Amino acid sequence: MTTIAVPAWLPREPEPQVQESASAVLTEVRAAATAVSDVAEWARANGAPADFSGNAADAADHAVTAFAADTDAVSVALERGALAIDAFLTQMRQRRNEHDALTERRQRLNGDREDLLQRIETATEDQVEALQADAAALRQRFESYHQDLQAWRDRVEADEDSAIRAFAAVDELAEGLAAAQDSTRADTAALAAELRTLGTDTDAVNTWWSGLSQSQRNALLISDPDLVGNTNGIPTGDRDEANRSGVQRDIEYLLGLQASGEDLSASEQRWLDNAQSIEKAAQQVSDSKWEGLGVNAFVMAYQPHAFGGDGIAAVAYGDPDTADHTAVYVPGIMQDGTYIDENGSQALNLYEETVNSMLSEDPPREGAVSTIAWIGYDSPNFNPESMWPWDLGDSAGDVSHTVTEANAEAGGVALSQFVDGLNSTHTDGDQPHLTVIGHSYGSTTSAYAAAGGMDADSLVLIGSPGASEGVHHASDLNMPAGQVFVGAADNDPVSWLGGEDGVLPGSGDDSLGLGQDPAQNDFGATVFAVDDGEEFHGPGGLVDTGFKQNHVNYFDDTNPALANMADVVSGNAGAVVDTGGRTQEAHDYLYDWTGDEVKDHVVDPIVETYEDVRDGVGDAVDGAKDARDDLWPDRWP
Amino acid sequence: MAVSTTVKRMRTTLLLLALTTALSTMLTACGASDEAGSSSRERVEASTTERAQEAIPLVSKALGATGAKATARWQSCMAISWRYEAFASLTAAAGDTAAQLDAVRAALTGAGYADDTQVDGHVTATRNDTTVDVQPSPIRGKRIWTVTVQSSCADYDGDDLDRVENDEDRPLDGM
Repeated sequence: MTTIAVPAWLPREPEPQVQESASAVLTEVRAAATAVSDVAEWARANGAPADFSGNAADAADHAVTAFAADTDAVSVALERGALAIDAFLTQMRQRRNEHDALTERRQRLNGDREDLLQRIETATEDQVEALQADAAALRQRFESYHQDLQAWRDRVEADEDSAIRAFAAVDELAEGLAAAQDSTRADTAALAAELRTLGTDTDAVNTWWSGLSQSQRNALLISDPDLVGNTNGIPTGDRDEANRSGVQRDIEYLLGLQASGEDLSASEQRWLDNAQSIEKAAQQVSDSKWEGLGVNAFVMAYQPHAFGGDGIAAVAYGDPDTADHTAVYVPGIMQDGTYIDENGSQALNLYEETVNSMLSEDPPREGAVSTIAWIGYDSPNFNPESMWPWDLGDSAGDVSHTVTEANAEAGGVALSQFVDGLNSTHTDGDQPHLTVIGHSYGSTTSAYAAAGGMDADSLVLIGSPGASEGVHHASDLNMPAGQVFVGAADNDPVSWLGGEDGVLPGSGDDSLGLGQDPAQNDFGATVFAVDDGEEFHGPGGLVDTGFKQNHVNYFDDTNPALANMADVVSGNAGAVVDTGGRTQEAHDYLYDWTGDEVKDHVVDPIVETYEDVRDGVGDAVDGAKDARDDLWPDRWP
Repeated sequence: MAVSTTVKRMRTTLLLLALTTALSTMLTACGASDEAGSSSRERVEASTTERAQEAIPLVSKALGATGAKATARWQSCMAISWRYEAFASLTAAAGDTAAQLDAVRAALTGAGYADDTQVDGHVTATRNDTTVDVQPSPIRGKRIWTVTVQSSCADYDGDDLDRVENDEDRPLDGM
């Protein structure tokens, strides 16, 4: 009897226990470290109060100084802990990838083993020699696998030991105090000052950041999360980590105040709303509606106190630093940092439509996509929860900015800098294809950015009240030829406001409009098909249907606008059909609608009343009709 | 010159009249939204849920789907208004996508929905104030389709606004 030695079947190797979700621990440790760092900094800066002197003051000063040292020791311990966790998580990510490769290899080896066994089962004597050789080769491959598996296990163990040693090095106060005095400890104040001097030069920021050591970056993430998280040019992953720490720090602080029985002030409540909205924006990728996309969220901006508490916020779905196609969505009127989660939903819808559009091509097109909701400017908004006359005054003052372009102009500069940051942080050196999509007042903001030289590849303006002052033609927007796209629903009243002459020509201020209507045929953009929305009439129609439905549905699955925008974002602009645009002035839509309303709700009721009450007085009726016709000619006088 | 001035004045007068009309319309509309009240919100939730309970099984059957997961919650319309939305993802039987879309369309129109499709690769059907949208979503996996059932966008206030703003996913009743 001939024996052929076949290696034993390979069992499944357990995965590393540390999963991706463990990164939440890092965020928590960083948030705690930031909070302690803030306390330490306060304590260092505040000994005894200036008007407090004498022995008691000296004692207090001494106590506060000692407290500052102790707090700093805790801070540095947490800082090093965070660094160790970060390194460990990075290692575990690598180990999981290695584990996946080993698993594939194991399955392949087991398959080859089964194949060999079957061949042995049916072999004849003359095949034995060849089978012996095959079995020897397979044994060799199994042995090699065992060695690699053991080496992988050793690396996992070494990673764990390393993390444990790092934690153990600062788990006592004395060790923390010594670490705080370590001359190699990063001087975060100096680093933060250096970063600030780089300003808006995003390439310089990116180069500088890349030149820091991991421990320096980690220390800055803890000492200055707000700076790191909101500086354009810092890689998206690091901005995300910094901002998440800041968000968590704020939520814990504010909920802590509430838990201790304190009523939050109006500004604190607004602060909490900002923090919880961006937290929700990041977490909603796990909601039942979106979890199937398997996309990661990145918090790219979080400044809850900006613009009088309206806040700045930005969230990306998919990493823009590695994306082949990136879109920045700029919302318009009524939006602020407390609504970043809702605007994030629009970005997620666009993300899904874009990837689906690529996968539906024949053959399916590969490519990573990132869509970003960006509220980085002071969008005119009205606080519907205003309770007091002075609040209403503030809100009305803010929303009145809609009829001026000042916020859009300033926002355009901020948007352009944000886009610069995206170009600087992309791993290929520049964004391969970046689209900016402005909706409503955000379209005016985007147009300002484009006219000022924003470094984007495609521009989409939807529901636009005007393409900004000084822009008369698509060519004024500095996009590559054919890369300005416009969507405007016939029944979207905001899109009726654009026009070279402004909304109130002849009133003494011809600049009240927001610029040319980009949907005009002669503007030179590609005007794509959209759902024109329902016509509306009578009381409530303008707001309830025109504004609250027709103006806000461009990102709906049912609206051709979304599919067209997805084609632009994915670089498939050739699939976008140009409808030719409007041949009627935008103002004329408003004019016609208002004329009809005057007829339906002013003239006709009068006529009907006359007919009911003074039946037979035909002259008066005709007079009323004639008066309306005289008052309301077919076109603008 | 005199003509030009008169025309400008006329135009401004008309515009002001237009804006006054719009403003009065807005104020009236705000009053109307006040009337929305909790009964309106609850009515929208109930009617959308009822449509979803009807439409999702129809779509599922038309696609020969083997698994469905359905949830419902209030969603924002660009943070300006709100709508109730039921969402389901289904694993369809293997088949030709165009034929499957036709089958879905036939199932919905056969049940009294009006075809309102405007986007290739989707089926959109409406009934009263409810819209049903069905599409394959390859990003979610092979043969995965999504069904979205939505009410129209509308405004809410008071406790209703608080509810719609802070709503969370919940399983769709009866699915």
